[in-house]
Order: sequence, then structure tokens, then C-alpha cells
Amino acid sequence: MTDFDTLVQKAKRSWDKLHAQKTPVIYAGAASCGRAAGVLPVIEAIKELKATLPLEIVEVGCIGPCYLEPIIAVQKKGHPTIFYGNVQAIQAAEIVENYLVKNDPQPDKAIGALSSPNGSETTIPSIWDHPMLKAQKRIVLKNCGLIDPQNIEHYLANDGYQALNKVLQMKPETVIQEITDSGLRGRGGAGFPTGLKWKFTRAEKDPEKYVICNADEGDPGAFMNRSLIEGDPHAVLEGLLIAGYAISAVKGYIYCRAEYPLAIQRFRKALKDMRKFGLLGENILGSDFSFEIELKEGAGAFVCGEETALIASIMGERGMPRQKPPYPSQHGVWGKPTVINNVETLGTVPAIIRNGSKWYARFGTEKSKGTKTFSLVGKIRRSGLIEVPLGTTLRTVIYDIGGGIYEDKEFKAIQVGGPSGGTIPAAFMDEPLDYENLNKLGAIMGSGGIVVIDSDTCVVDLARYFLQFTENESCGKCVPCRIGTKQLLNLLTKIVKGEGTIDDFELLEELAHTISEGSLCGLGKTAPNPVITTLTYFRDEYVAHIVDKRCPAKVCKDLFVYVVDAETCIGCEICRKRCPVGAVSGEKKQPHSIDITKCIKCDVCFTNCPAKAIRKVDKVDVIHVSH
Amino acid sequence: MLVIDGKKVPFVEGKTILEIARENNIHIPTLCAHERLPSFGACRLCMIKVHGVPGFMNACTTPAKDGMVITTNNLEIKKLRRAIFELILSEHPSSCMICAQAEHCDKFNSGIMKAGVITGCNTCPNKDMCEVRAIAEELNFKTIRFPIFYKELPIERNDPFFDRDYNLCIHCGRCVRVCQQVEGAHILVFTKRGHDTKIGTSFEKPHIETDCKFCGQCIDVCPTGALSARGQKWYQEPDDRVRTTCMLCNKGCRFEMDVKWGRIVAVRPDPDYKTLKTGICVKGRFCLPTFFNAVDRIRFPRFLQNFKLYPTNWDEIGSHVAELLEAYPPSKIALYLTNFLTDESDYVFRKFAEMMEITNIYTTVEDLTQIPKKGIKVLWTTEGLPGLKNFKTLEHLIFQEVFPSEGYELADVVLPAAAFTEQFGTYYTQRGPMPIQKVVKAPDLALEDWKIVCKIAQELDLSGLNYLDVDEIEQEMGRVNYKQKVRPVDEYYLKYRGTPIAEKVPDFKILLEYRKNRAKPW
Amino acid sequence: MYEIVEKREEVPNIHRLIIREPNVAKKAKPGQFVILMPDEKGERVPMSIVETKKDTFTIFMLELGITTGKIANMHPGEKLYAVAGPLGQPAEIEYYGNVLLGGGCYGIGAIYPLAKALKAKGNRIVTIIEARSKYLIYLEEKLRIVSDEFYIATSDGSRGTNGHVQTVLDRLIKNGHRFDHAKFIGCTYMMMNCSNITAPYRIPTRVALNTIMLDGSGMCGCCRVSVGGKTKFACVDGPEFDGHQVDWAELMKRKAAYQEAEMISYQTSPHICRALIENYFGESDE
Repeated sequence: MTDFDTLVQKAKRSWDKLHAQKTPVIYAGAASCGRAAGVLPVIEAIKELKATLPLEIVEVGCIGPCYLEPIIAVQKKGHPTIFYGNVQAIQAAEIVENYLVKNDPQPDKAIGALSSPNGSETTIPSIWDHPMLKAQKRIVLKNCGLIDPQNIEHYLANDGYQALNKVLQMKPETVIQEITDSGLRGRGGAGFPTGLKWKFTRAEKDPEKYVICNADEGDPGAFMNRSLIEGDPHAVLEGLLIAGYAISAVKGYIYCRAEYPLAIQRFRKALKDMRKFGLLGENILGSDFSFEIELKEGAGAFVCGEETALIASIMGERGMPRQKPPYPSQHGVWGKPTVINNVETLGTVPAIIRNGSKWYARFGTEKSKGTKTFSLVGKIRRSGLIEVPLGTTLRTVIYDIGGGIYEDKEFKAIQVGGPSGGTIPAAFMDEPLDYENLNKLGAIMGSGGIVVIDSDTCVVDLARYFLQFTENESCGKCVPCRIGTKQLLNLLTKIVKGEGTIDDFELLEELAHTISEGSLCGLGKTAPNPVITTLTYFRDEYVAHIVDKRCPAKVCKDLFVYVVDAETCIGCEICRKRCPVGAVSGEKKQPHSIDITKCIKCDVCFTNCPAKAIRKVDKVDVIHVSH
Repeated sequence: MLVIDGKKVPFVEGKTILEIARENNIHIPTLCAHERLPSFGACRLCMIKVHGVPGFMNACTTPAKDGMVITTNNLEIKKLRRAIFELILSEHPSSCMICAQAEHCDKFNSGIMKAGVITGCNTCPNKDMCEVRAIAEELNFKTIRFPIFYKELPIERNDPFFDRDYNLCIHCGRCVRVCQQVEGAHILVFTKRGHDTKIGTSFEKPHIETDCKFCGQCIDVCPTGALSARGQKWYQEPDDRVRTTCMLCNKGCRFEMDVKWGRIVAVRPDPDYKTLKTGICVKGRFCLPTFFNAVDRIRFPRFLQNFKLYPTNWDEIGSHVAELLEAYPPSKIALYLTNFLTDESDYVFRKFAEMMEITNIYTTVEDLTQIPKKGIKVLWTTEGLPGLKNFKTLEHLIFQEVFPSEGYELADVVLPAAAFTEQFGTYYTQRGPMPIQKVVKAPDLALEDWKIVCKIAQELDLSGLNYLDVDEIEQEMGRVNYKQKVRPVDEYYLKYRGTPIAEKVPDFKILLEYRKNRAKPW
Repeated sequence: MYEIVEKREEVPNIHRLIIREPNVAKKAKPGQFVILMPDEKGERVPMSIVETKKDTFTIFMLELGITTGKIANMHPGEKLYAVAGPLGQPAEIEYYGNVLLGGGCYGIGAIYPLAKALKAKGNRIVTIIEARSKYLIYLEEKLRIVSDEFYIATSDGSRGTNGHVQTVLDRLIKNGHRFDHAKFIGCTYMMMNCSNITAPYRIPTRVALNTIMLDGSGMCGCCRVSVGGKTKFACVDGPEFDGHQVDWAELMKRKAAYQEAEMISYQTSPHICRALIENYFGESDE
């Protein structure tokens, strides 16, 4: 029996012990999403129970359905482990006590259960049958929300480092071949075949090579990488080790943005444990393979997700991209051949090695193989982190997994791929989500952020929002990106203010073309995508803004006014009292009215009207603007 | 072999497409590329199409590959290039470039333009050398369709020697690259991000508070007027450009000097002098023109009469000095030879001394202690010297200088010398003998030091001291195997002859005062 | 005396200065100017008086060279070395009917007192101002108030008409506008162009010439201009002259007379603003 087998057996023993122990265990989803929803006070509340009730608390990562956070799972010997969602601190103790002491599983509050091997049956359906989880295929996210990310033994007990152990007995070329055969493509956005990238770098003559894990996830609304790191950091690190072995690298870097403090903490702990377990440093697992990993914190520049900027940043320079070629595979960090892989790409590698390329290639489509994680946010009922085989249709994602549009409004579009991506209208709901198809539709896979848009969203305003983001995040090096995005943003601002002219269409299109064709790096090249796609699919909305001076979604504040519908108004005076500028007048029980010259469009009256008597009316219908 | 615009050109391994195109006289407009600097790829004007590669590539960073077929100027490329340049113009104060009246206005406003903030070419110190303007003309720009964004940055004039108006900056990054990659100084960096990206020092400190050496290379590479030497760049195109060697110390740096209206107006490193990798120092780059153009240069020979120094001509002063020297035995006469004499002048002086049998030749201030010991009565100095009034034995002081420096008030004969930029010659430096070129004419009656000696020798009827030019002296020096040494004046020597440079260059004074606690002020 | 009461950079390079000098304030009439000296050795620079109040007057100064740069770097509360004025002849202010005013650069400020005075005489005022770009336009609101018609021209087209005063003027005349009198203040080139446009229509045209001046009292002769073949002194006979009679070519040549002296002065004077020198050396005990 090798050292590694001993490690695994020990880990398995402690894992099994945890799951069979008499003392109840509370698993609390304590990733960033859970913390934001308030899991820490929940944990505190449960801790207070300890005085009277023996129990153990284990902080795990996120299982996915973020809309249900904070989520806790209560493990009770001989009974199913039950997951509870939306647990607030005031009811946490009660929920736990009800189940543990009063034996009441509280099916109304439960979101799913995991039956224990020889425990009693329950009426609560399995957590895996939860509508949000059922349609998923979890490969990368296998352990997320189930294991303690800070406990290396939990990972080891769940097939952890098996792949590394296997790889160390393989030739590096074979490893690369295996990855190539699996069809794995870069999960960071561009979708370049991972095996090929490794092969190119390995082929470089320079013996000093590096691997970088790109954990600089920065798209607004994207959190796949963060969740994975916070839920299962060892999967990513194991992938990094395998990549390092495959290309014979001397060192690996993790470039993680400083805005992910928890992820950084998880990485640090994991690296420490790896070293302790002989998984890092000299002669890993007794083999000839020696490898070091250094964690670098990025200072929060979006552009540092671009590989050449990231390399510059690692070397202590300003995060500014440089023109490729030469590619990092030839001239990367410290001028040496370098592989840069996204967190999710690396996180997938161990599973491929463990189960074989054939197994992995079964998932997905012909050209886009495997699964992909997506963060599902926006106007969707069930938001959170999901993993589906590539090629899954948008309909499955939005309706089966996401449960449809929030408040049953009309599904208008999705914005996929963040600020570099595009807006895909609801009409393409049956299109499969894969690299080729998204590119065909004008969007990109990006890191996998999906923002769902309903009819209350103005796409012009949305495009403007994303442009504002890229304009801000441009590194300022090349002209089309630095000045072009500013001018494009300026044009869009003009349009949402109702000052657009018909000539602006041409200018918008030309400018978008100039930026995408002229820019130096991916950030600039893809920056106009939100504009290009919305211009393609929602041209009528632009026409409405420019020609009719109307915002169909009533979002652009310069184009509509608030009007009180006298017949519906109940004269409750709420709007009058809440209006911060005194624009509302009216006697009690009498219909009120709004002075549009005073109104600052803060939306307070609209959102607070109990009778829904306040309407947004196109300005042009109320005031006749003379030109 | 490559094909660029249908023309077959040889392939050179390791070169970029732009380099190969330029070597073959194929013009591709660029703003950020610079022959001395590593490529950057920021301005995006050099967009080209490589057949078989989707999209556009930029010529300045893309390595050429054998067999590439390249188009640099089809309609599609022209359109993209115009569109990109239009974006630059929307930020760079460019109203004069697209103004219909620009040409006539330029003729009418031919005066010196040096406005505080630069709001158009009309007031730009760099208007005749502006690369943005050149490209605007090349692409024939008449309108800008985008709104104009003026950055409204305050002009940075908190430093000696140069102002920075980053409103004109087009972010080509040349100054940053020259500062970091050529000079190795890392003073100029990109700061902020997005549209607010700006070039400047870290934390927006004035340069004088950083380790900036004021080498001025950033100014030399700036394609716009954003970085401009105060008082050096605003004259239109120079009348002449002359290269010479610096004589302010023994390093032997080579210069290229701009001449306008018979005066030196700007100095930069000699672009052809390959060994000169880094910049020239602040003394050469910035102080020289101001120093030699200072209004109080000695312009006429003068002699003392009725307690007043009267201007005269060379004939009169020559005989006056000859008489004076003949009145004393050689043992009572001393010569002080400054380290700033050209090799030729030094040789002529020494030959003169030998013929006159003057053995008291001093070259350091310490040597002066011999004056009382030997009872020297006549001192002919070529450099202003301190403490001369303490030497009571001295009856006459012949003062041959560029400026009325220390000791001038004691002189009874003043001989106006030409500065090193006003003569031909050789100067023995750490690099060996270096040629000195005449850049401008010496003011009024000022003469080369050796010529002054010859004038006096003539009056003394000394034969063998009437040279036509420096070549003749050089030939003779070769014949007699005269060897010059490296002068003991290092880079941080602060005087030229007897005049502290800071005395004539107020900005240099500020620099020295501000950095007085530093061992090396630049 | 000569105290700078207020100083503000209205737009890049154009500084509005309020200077305390009761004598000038009391006597100045529209169209007159003052000569300022920032320090004892400073050059003497003429500036149009734009507004007067009890004991102060306002000027708009274009920062262009060393001397104006020195003034631009002074702070409120500091005193100028000398202020001489009011100098020159007041502008002709009569009732003409339709009056055209054109201003560019510092002239935007300088036409303001004329517009006010002419308006008070009952004239109908048409004002055209020009600037290189939109961000160089100032005094717009005040000029709008005293003008019956108001136009802006920019050379880059970023506001108003793409062009110059003469572009708008030409258009107005071609569209049938009739003017009984015109006044232009600004750069020499603009005044010349505008005069050339009004000449064929026989519109009486007055221009305020900005020559080099020394004493401002007609003694030095620096400000010599040829008007209608006769030699005039801009400082005592002007600054207003008949725009159709001015020898423009000669004027331009004379304005470039001191280029070399300017170059030397630029090379040899310290340029760091005074406040900063104080900052560097004033508190050196840290």
C-alpha cells in the first residue's frame, strides 16, 4: 500500500465517521453567497444551541440555489439529512431543534433531503430532485456544498487527488492526449481547446515553464469561479498540479482577485494542507514531480482577466495587455512558455483524468463537450449557480432549472458572457448553449454569466450599463478601447436621454465596428457586443428611443413621466408624504397629481402606491416638445 | 520573401511587419511606434490585413513570417484607420487641424506661441513637428463626427525645464517606454484606468520630487506638444541642426543641437551615436542653450583705463597685451589653463608659453598658492578664479573668459572667448578624442581661445603661431606627438570655466537647491 | 492700489481679473484699455477694460507669453507693479440702428462693454463670437442678455456654426441681414477677415488693434499702424480704427518684431510659478 492509499483510507475513515456519528451535524452553506444572505448569524444562533444540544457545525460551500440562501442541512443519525432554505437567524434554532429534538422534519420548510444509508424513510423528496438541481449534471460542482472546503480529507475521501496519483504514473504526453480527447475547451471565455494549449506550451524548447490559474473573475453577475473555489478549492489545485505535470512546469501561479477574500482564504488553507500531505513541493507523492504554487492577489482590474495583462500583473507591472502574438504559450510570465487556464477548466481536469476522456466526451455537443457552469441571475425565479451539459437549451435553463421569469413577467432576453457578451432575445429560447452557437448569435460563452432580462428592462439602457463598465475598466492603452468606448457610451447616453438622431445609427454601427476590429485585446474587441447584439435583435427599441423619443420599458428617465391615474387613486396620501421633493399634491381621499417639473423620478411614489394608480407615461404624450 | 501591397520584399527573421515595410519604403502611418523603442501597439493606426488571417493585425507588433501576403492600404483598412484616428482627434485639441482657415491663420500668427494651456496647434509649441498633425494632413481630415472631449487637466508646470500639458497626450506610451526601457528610470508610468488613464509620475508628484534625472528623453520622443521643454520647443522649425560633443564634463556625450536665428535653442542626444544608450544629462539637455544665450556674455575685448573697462578691438587689445607681457620677465608671468580648453587651444597655449619661456602654467586652484611664493605679477587666466584679490603681488590680470565670472572685477584686460559650441576642435574625453563642431557663431568679437593666443603672438612677433584653422594645429600636434589627457571634470562638475551653470540657468538652480541633500542631484 | 481682487481662469488660458484701481474705475469708458506690469522688470501689456465697479475694473487676459504668464500665476491679494490707464480713445458709441459685434479669444470679453453701451443707445445688437472649440467659450450668458441676436462659431464645429465670425457674418449678410455698423475685437487675422467681408457692403467697420505697446502715451511709437496711408499710434489714436483702412500686412510684420528677444527671455527666465518656488524653498525646515 502506497503512502497515498494510506492518506485516502484515513480520509475516508474520518469522512465516514462524520456521517455516521451520533452527534448531529449541521452543514451550513457558508460561501460568499450564503454569507451575503446572512448565514453567519444563523451559525451563531445554532452555536448557542450547543449548550443544551450536542451538535457539530460544518461550514460547506454553496450547493447552487442561491435564491434559497442561507441553506443549512441537518444530519441526524438514523434519519435523512434535511436541507432547509431561506433560514433566518431568528428561526434557525427552532428549525434545528424541531428536527433534532421534536423529530419534526418540517417538510414545509425543507427543500430536500438526503436519505441516510439505513435510516428511516421520509416524505421529503431528495435534494437532487429539487427542480433547480434535477436537470443539472454536476461534474465540476460535484463536491460543492457537500464537503468542508477547508478539510483536505473531505476532498480526499471524495476521489480527491486520485487523478493526480494516476497522472504521476502516466507520461505527460499521455495526459495531454487524454485532455485533448476529452474535448475540454477553455472555460474562461474564448473556448480554446485545453489539450492543444498544453501541447503547444510543452513543445516550447525553454525548460522553464509556468502554469497560471486565472481566478480573476470579473464579469458583473458572474460568480462561477468564486463558488467553485469557495466550495472545492482542491479540485482546482489538483487540476493545476496536473497541468503543471503535463507541461513539465516549474511553478504554478494562482491569480485571484482581491475582491474574493474568502476564496483567497480557501486557497491559502488548501495550499497549506497540500504541503502537509505531500501534495505540493518537492517530490510530490514520492514521485519525481516537484511543483510550487504561488498565490497572487489582483487589485481588481477587470482587464487583468485578459491573459497578457494578467501576466504583466503577476510580474508586478501595470495590468496592461500586449498584442498577441507571441502568445503566452511562447512568451508568458517572465518571458517563459506559460499555460493560463481558467478556474473551471482546471477544476474539470481531475474528473476527466479519473473517469477518462471518453466518459467526459459523452456530455455536451460535438464541438462543445462536457458540462459548463453558469451563474443564473437577473429577473429569474430561481437564481444561482448551475452546471449543465453544453448544448442544453436556453429553455431548459430558464424554465426547467430557473423556474421561469420572476413575478411571471414576460421573458425578453438573456445577456450572456458579461460585458463582453451579447443579448440574446427570447426568440432563440430553443437554441442550445454552446460555444459555436453563442458566437453565431453574436454573444460569447464568456465565463458563463447569464443575466435574465424581462420586459421591464430597457435593452438600450442595458447596453449602456455594460458600456459604462467596459469604459471604466479599459486599461487605457489602445485608442479604440479607451476613446471608442467613451464615445460609444456617450452616444448611448444621448439616446437614452432622448437626444439621439437618426444619424446615430450609422455612427453607432461604425463605432462598434471600429472598436471590435481595432482594439488590442479581448476586452476592447468584445466591448461593443452588447451594443451590436441589441442593435441586431432590438432595433425597434432603438428606433423608439431615437425617433419616437419613447422608452418602451419605461426605464430611461428622461423619456417618461409619472402620472396619477385619477380613477384608480384612492387619495391615501402615501405618495404625497413620501415624495422627497414635494412634487405630489392632493387632498386626502381626493385624486393626487404629480408636478412633473419638480419630479426627480426617484420612483418612490410608483413603488409605494398601494392602488397601483401611478403610471409611467411617455413624455412625448404629455409634453409636446417643439423642435 | 513577403508581399506587401503587391511588392515583393525580402523576409528578415525577427523583424516586425512594420520594420520590414519601412525598410522597403512602404509607408504605414503610426503614432506609438518609435525606432528607438520596443513596439507597443497602442495607437492602432498601423492596422493591416494579412491574407488568410481573419480581422486586422497591427504591423508594429506582429512578427513577420516568411510568405506573408500583406495589404496595408485598401479601402477597408483606410476606413478603419480614419475611424481610429478620428477618435484620437476627438480628444486631442485638434480644432486647428480641421479648421478651414488654418493655413492662412498660421501665416498670420507666425509669432512665438507659448500659451499656458494648449488648446490648438495655433498655440502649440510643437506644431511644426507634431506627428498627430502630420497624420491629420496625410488622412486629410476636415471634420470630426464625435463630440469633442477636452480633458481639462491642469498644465503641470511645477518642475524646472519642462511643462506637461497632458490634454495633448495621445497615450502613445513613448515617454513611458523611453523612461522605463531605455533610461531604466521608471519615473513616467501609466496611472488610473479606463478613459481617465493618464501618463504621469506615481502619485502625481512633481518630477523634481522623484528620482527624475531630467534627461529629457521623454520630450524627444513625444509626438505631440504634451511634453515640451520650456523655451526650447516653441520656435517653429529650426534653421539648422548641428551635432557636436559636450565639453561640460569629460564623458564625451554627443549632441544634436537645434539652431534658430543664430542661437542654440534645443539640445538632444545625437541620434546616430549608438553607444549613447541613455540620455544626456540635465546640464547638456536643458541648461546649455540658456547658459550660452545668457545676455551677459563677454562680447568685446576690454582694457582698464580710468578705473573703467573700455571695449576695444582685437588689434588694439593685442598690442596692449603684448606690451604688458613684454614689460615683465617670464618668471613673473603665469598662465592659468582651464580644463575647458579644446585640445588645440591647450596645445597652442602651451606652445606660446614655451616660446615666451613662461614656465608658470597652472591648471588647478591649488596651483595658485605659488603666486605669492614666486612673486607672480601678471596672471593670464582662461577661467574665473576665486580669491585672486588675496594675491597682493599680482599687478595685472588678463581675463580670458566666456562670462564675467569670479575675478572679473580685478581684471585690467578682458579677452572674450568663444564657448565650445562656437568653435571647431577636439576634446579628449573618456571616450578618447571627440570632435567639437561649431554650432553657432560666437557673439560679437568673441574668439576661439587659440585664436586669441595667435592674435597676441602676432603682436609679439612670435613665428609659428599663426594657424589658419584647427586642422593645421591638429596636424602639428600629430607631428610633435602631443598627447592630451582626460580632464579632471566629472559629470557632476557644476561650472563651465569659472561660471556656475546654475547662476545663468534659474531652473537648474532650483533643481540643485531642491536636491541639495542628494549626493548626485540628478 | 493695483491689487488683484479676484482671479479666475474662465476657460483654458483666459483669465478674468478684477483689479483695484479707483482712478481707472472712475474714468474708464468702453473701448479703453490699461497697461499692466506684473513686476518692475516686466514687459508692459495692454488689456481691454471690460467692466468697472466702484473702485475696481475687470479685464479678460489671454495667457500667451512670459508676462501674461506671470500675471496668471499671481494670486488674489497680490499687487501688480503698475497699472496705467485708462488709455486710448473710447470706442464710438452712437445710435446706428443694426450693430454687428464680433469677438474672438480675449475679444469675447472686450466686446461686452461695447455691446452694453451700444444697447443702451438703443441699437439692435447682433453678436457673433468665435472660439476654437466649445470649451473655450465664455461670457456667453452675459452677452446673450445684451444681444438681440447671438451666434457662436467654433473652428471644429463642436458648438454653433463650424467656422469663424466671418462665416456667420457672411451667411447673415447673404440671408439679407443689413448692418449699419460693425465692431470686431480679437486676433488680427479675424479682424482682417471680417473687415474684408463688410467692405463690399460698405458697412462702417471699427476694429480694436492689439499692437505691441510700451508707454501707451504715444511716445515710443511701438504701436505704429498705418491707417488709410497715415501713420497712427494705436495707444493714443486708437485702439479703434476703421477696419477698411488698416494696413494689415504691415501690422502682422510689426507684431513679430520681438521674436528673438522673446526667445532669449523665454530661455533665461525661471518659469516655475512663484507660489511653487515659495513652496520649495519657503518652508525648508522640514
